[in-house]
Amino acid sequence: MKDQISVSIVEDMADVRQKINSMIEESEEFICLSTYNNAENALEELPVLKPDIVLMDINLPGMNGIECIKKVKRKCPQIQFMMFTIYENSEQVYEALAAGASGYLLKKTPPERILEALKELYEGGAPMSANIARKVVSFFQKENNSANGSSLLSNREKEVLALLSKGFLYKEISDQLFISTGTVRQHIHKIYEKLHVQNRTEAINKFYGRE
Amino acid sequence: MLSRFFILIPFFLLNFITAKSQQTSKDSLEQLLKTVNTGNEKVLLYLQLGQTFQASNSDSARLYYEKARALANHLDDKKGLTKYISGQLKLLNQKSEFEEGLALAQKDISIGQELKDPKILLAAYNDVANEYEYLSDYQPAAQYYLKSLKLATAMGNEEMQSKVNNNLASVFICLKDYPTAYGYSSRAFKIANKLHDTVTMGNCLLNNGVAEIHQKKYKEALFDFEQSEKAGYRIPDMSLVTDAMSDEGLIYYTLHNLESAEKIFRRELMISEKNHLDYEKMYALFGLAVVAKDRNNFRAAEQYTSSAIGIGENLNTEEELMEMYDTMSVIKQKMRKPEEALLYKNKYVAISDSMMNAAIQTNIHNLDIQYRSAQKDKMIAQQNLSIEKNKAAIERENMWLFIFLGGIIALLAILVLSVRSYRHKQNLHRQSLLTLQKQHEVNTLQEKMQAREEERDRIGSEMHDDIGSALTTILYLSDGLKAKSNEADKNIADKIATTATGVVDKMNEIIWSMNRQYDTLDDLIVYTRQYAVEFLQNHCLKYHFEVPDFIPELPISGEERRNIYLVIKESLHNIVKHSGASVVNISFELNEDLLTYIHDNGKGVELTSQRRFGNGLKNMKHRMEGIGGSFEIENDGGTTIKLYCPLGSSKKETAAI
Repeated sequence: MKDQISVSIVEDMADVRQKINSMIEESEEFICLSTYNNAENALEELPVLKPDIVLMDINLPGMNGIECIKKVKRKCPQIQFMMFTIYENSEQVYEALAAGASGYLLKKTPPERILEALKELYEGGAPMSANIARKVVSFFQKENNSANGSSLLSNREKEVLALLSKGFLYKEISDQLFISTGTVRQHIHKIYEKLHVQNRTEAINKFYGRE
Repeated sequence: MLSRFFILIPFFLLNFITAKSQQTSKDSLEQLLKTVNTGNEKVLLYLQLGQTFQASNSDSARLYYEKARALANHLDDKKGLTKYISGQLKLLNQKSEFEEGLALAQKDISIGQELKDPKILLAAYNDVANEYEYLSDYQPAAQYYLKSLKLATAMGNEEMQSKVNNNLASVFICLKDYPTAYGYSSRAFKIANKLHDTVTMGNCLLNNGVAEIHQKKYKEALFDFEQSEKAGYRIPDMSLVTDAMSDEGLIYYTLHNLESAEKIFRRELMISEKNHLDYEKMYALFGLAVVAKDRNNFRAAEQYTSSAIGIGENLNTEEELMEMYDTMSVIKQKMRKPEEALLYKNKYVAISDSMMNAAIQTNIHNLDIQYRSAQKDKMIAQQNLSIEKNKAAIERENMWLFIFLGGIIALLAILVLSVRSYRHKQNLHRQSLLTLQKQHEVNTLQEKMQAREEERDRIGSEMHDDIGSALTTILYLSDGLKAKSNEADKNIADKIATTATGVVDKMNEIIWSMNRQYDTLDDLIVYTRQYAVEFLQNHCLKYHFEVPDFIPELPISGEERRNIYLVIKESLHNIVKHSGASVVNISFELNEDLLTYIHDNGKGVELTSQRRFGNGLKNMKHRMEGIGGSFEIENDGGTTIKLYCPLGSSKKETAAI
């Protein structure tokens, strides 16, 4: 039997937290390592427990989810973060993705779909809306301009990103590029990783004044 | 005028009689008083009467003077008052009432100024100076003498010039400024000599001599004193004679010519005794005493000094007494009378002590006076010089006037120009201030607006988060409910969940339209496309999109984005619900405006009976018109919806209309 995917939940709404917790407990594929109702406790324990995936709420009392991701990612880059947000169009979604999250889930998503999304993420998939794709595109354009000129993204990644940013769905992209939607997801996952790395080096460069 | 002349003749006669019999003159004057009618004449008569008694009966003199004063005051007879003052002054001086005299003389000055009568003024200045001199206040004395000298010079009154010059010499001797004093006295002598004024000449010589003694020019001094002595005999003025003699004696003594000194002092003693001149007698006796002392004839010296001290104590002359006490003390010591010597020494110390403070103060005062007098002198010289210069300058006066006027005109021009430039600068300054102020207002307004927007955003996002959390909780609760419920309740739970999800979607749209980061045309098209594709795929409809390859970064407001998006969304919902179409074509066309076509291959709309979804169509039309655009719907093998929205420049034109 395949190893279970370990999950931690950071969510301040008790009903939601308990529901997802019990759902994960019931599934055979997942195991819930821990739940937190605030970011501070999560920041303390997550680097020790090292779950595969953290389902992270953004709006929390005290430290917000984005700050928490940044800090944990710095210590344990292997932990994957799935943002748990109410609104897709929230400014904070992009911030969280740039800070280190690999995907996002809307809270209106039916609970059974949540587990699917977690599994997709674990297998290297990642959701990306057109709005976020546009921001990612403009981010990498800026990076390419300021950096040595060699492209940070592969051609295929660029193609995927371009289509995404025009509002194409994964299915459409896969049709257009003759690849499976899983491959599209993996490309997007790669793009996210590069975004994080780039974001972190940018932060370091800023810290050392190299920019 | 004529009547006064007639009165003056009897006066002259009366004066003549006066010398013989005071009683007679008084009676006649009083008789005359009764016949005189004019008040002014009465004043003169009173003064005459006063003068008659001045030497013999000062009280009677004072009485008449007082009558003259009262009447003159009553009649406002200034000239009469002036005459009263000169008479009264003599009376006061006799009684050593100098302060009263000073006040009176000063009043005379004001009368002189009022009447603009230089003669009165000249006499008044001189009188004031005299009183100051008597009061040993030499600085103002010098000042007033200088005033009267100036006036006398201006009036060409040489007699007064010589007298005032000599008075100045006396004052400067008192101020111990001997060269200046000598200058004045020799000037006075020259003028007096020209006028054959022996009295003044004699006095001038005296002053000359004193000034010379102090400059150690003994020979010259001796000559001057001898001349002065001779003048004294000629006048005759025995006090002048004896004065000169004391000084001659002093010079001989200083030159150790004791014989000549003794001779002079003896003669002086004789003359002064004969003429009852106490001061001079005291000087003569003391002179003899000093000579005797130098010859070691202490007994004689003791006698002379004792007599001199007797007179001195009578006259209360401190300075002389002090010197005499000191000398006496020395004589007594030589005579081996130490107790008496001590007595005189003590007397000497007592006076010396009492005079010390006064002396110090006088010294300081005198230094000040010297300085001021020198300044005054210098000023007079400068004034004279400038008068000379002015005379020479008169010829050039016109030129100077021209230059002066030219200067004034130039100054005025500069003033006008600078005022104008100042105003101009002020205006500029004010304008720049105004600009700054406006800039500031604009900035403040912008800041306020920004702050308000930020605040709105903050409230908005907080509200969205709160509502979102609540909706999420509802969703999860309804989900929980669904699991535990029967079929009917399950439906209700589903409805709750669907409603909550719908609200979340709406909120999501609002957030998108409100987010200023998504305010370009590109954002609108991409977002709309994403939604449409997802929606149509979910409902298994085929679709075709036409989007321009290049979408310019045109700004589009939140309201425009939201309305266009919502209208497209509504159109798509209508297609799915009512048209029965299988294919939907959506195309965006960009010229100067944005044109959106939504075509479906469905059964079309019954435009005549739109009531069924009339509200929805009306709403869509309203939304497009709300952003300055239009909404059109037509049947052409299905339905075509045409949305028009002005952009950029055309939008501005529309707005202008």
